[in-house]
Amino acid sequence: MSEIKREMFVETEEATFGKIIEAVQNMGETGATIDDLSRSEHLERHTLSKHLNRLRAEGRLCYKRIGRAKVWFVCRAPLQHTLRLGEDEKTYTEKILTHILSDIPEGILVLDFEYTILFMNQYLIARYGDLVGQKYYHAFFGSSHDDHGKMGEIIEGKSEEVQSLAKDKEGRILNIKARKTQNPDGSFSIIAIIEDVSEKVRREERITHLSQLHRLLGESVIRAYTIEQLCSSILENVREVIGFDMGDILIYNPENKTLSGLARRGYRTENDVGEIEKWKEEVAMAAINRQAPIIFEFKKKEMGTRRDDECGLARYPPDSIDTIHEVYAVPLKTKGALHGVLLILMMSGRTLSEEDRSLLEGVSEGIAGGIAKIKAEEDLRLKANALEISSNPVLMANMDGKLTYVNPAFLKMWGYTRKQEVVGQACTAFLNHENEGNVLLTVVHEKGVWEGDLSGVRKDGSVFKVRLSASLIIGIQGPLQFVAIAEPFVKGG
Amino acid sequence: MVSTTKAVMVVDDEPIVLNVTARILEAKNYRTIKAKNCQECLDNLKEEVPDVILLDLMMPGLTARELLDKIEENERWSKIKIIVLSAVHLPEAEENGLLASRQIVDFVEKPFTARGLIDAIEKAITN
Repeated sequence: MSEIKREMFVETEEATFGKIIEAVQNMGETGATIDDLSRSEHLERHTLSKHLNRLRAEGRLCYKRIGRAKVWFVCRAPLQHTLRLGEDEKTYTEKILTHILSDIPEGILVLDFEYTILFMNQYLIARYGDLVGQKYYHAFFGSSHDDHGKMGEIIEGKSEEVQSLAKDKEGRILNIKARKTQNPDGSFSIIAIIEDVSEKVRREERITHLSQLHRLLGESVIRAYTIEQLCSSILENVREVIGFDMGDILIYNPENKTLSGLARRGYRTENDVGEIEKWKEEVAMAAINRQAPIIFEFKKKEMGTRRDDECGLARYPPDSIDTIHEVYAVPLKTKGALHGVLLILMMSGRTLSEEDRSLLEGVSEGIAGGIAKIKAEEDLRLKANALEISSNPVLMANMDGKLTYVNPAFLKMWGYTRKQEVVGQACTAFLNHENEGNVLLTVVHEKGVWEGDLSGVRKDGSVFKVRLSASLIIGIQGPLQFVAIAEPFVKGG
Repeated sequence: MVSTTKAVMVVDDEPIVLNVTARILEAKNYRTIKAKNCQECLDNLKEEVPDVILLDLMMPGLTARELLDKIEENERWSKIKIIVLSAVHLPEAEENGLLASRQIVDFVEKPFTARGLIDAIEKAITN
C-alpha cells in the first residue's frame, strides 16, 4: 500500500473510531450493545465487532458482560478495566502488563480528578484492602480533604507531575510519584506510583542518628571533665536514637562492691525513681557479677519469665512499676576494670530490637572508655597535686633542656612568683655555671641519672648551693623528658 | 675467675628504648643482652642465662605470654627474675593473665624514669 493510501486509510479508520466512541458516549450510563451501535452507525456486526475490539485494546472503550452480551462504555480507567478482564479476554500485552502490575513491589493507583480511586494494584490491596470507589485522601490518610501529598497541584493544573513523602493513617511513610494522564473520553486521571518507604526512611533516620550519636559520643568523651557530665550527655543522646522509656547509668565502687545512680533519663516523677532504686541496683549488680549484658523480660506477675535465669535476681519489679516489660543491663567495662552499668527499661508493649541492643553494647564501651579516661585524668591531677605541694623543688625539661614544668617549691627557692616566668626557659639559665648544666644534661641523656651539687642563681642574681637528683623519663618510643628534684644543700650532707 | 657482674637481658621491639635502656644499665655496671622480640630472647637464653629479664609485654611474633610459659617450663631458667616493662596498665595486664608467671617480680609502667628502672633492677637482684 502506498504511503498516501495508508494515510487515507488511517484517517478513515480514525474517523470511524471517533463516530463509534461518540455513539457509545451518547448512550450515556446505560452503555451500548453491538446491536445499538450497528443500528446507529450502519455498520455490519462483524466490522463493528472488529472496531470495538481494537478500541478496547487501545483502552478507549471497555465493556461489561451482562449475561452473554457485552455492554460498551467509554473507558475512564482503562487499566482497571484491562486488569479485571478474564485471562482469555486479554491480549498478550495485557497479560504481560497484568503480571507486571501484580508482581511489582510498588503500588499503582489511578484516581479521577475528584480524588476517587479508580484502580489499585495487588501491592496496595494487600496493605489497604480494596478501596476502589473511595476518596483517596480518606482511604489512605483518614482525612476529609487532600492535605497529604501533592495530588491537588495536578488537579488544579499547577503541575503535570508531582512527588512527595506522606505518612498514611497507619503511620507508613509513602513515597508518592503521580502524573496526569488523559483518558479516551477526554477527561483526566492521575496515575500514581506508591512505595512504602517506612523501613528505608527509618533506617536512614537511624543511620543519621547513629552517626550523630557516634560524633556526640566522641565529643562527650573528649569534652567531659566529670563522669557525671559524660554519662548525662551520652544517656540523653542514646535516648534520642533508641527512644527507650527510662534509662540509668550506675557507677560501681569496687572497694565496697556497691552501685550508685549517677545519671537518669525518662522518669516522670521523683517517686518513680525512689520506688525502683533498690530493685535497679539489684538488676545492675547481676550484670556486674556476670560481667556481660543481661536481658530480663517481664510479662504478668503470675506468668513472669526471664530470658536469663542465672543471676539470682529478684524476679519482678516492685508493684508500683509492674508496667515494666523489659530491662537491659549492660556492664560498663574496660580491660581491667568494671566502671558501672547502663540500664535501659522498656514499658509494656515496647521492646528493644537486636539492633538496639547491639548499639547499646557499642555505646557502653564508649561510656566505659570515657569513664576510664576521666578516672585516669583525675588520677594524674591527683598525682600532680602531690608535686604541687611537695616542699622539694621539682622541675621537668624537654630533650632540648627547656623547662616544661616547675612546682611552687622551685619558684620559692629560685625567687620567682609565677610559673610563666620560668617555663620555656633553658634549665641551664637557672644555674650559676651554664657548663655545669650542660654536663648534667649530657650525663642524664647518656646514663639516665645524675646526682650532685650545683650553684643555682635566684631571680635577684644571688647564688646558692643546691643538691639535684635528675632522671631521664622514657616513653613507649624513647626518651621524653628530664625530671629533677632539688633539695637545699647541707654542708657535709 | 667467675664474673660477678650481673647480667640483664632487655627485650623491647622499639630500638631506641632497647638501646637507651641498655645504655643506662651499662652505666650502672650491668652487663646487658639485647633482644628485639620474644623469639630472640628465647634464642639468647639458650646461649646465656641472665639474672634479670626486662620484658616489654606487647611485641609482634611470639607473645610475651608464650615466652613466659617457655621460661617457666625450663628448669635452667627458673632462677631468672623478670621485670615487666610495658605501656599496658597493671590491672589490664593482670586481667589478661600476663602477670601469672611466678618469676615476675616487678611491673614498671611506661613512661618510666631511669631512676625507677634502676631501683627495680637493684631490688630484683638484691632479693
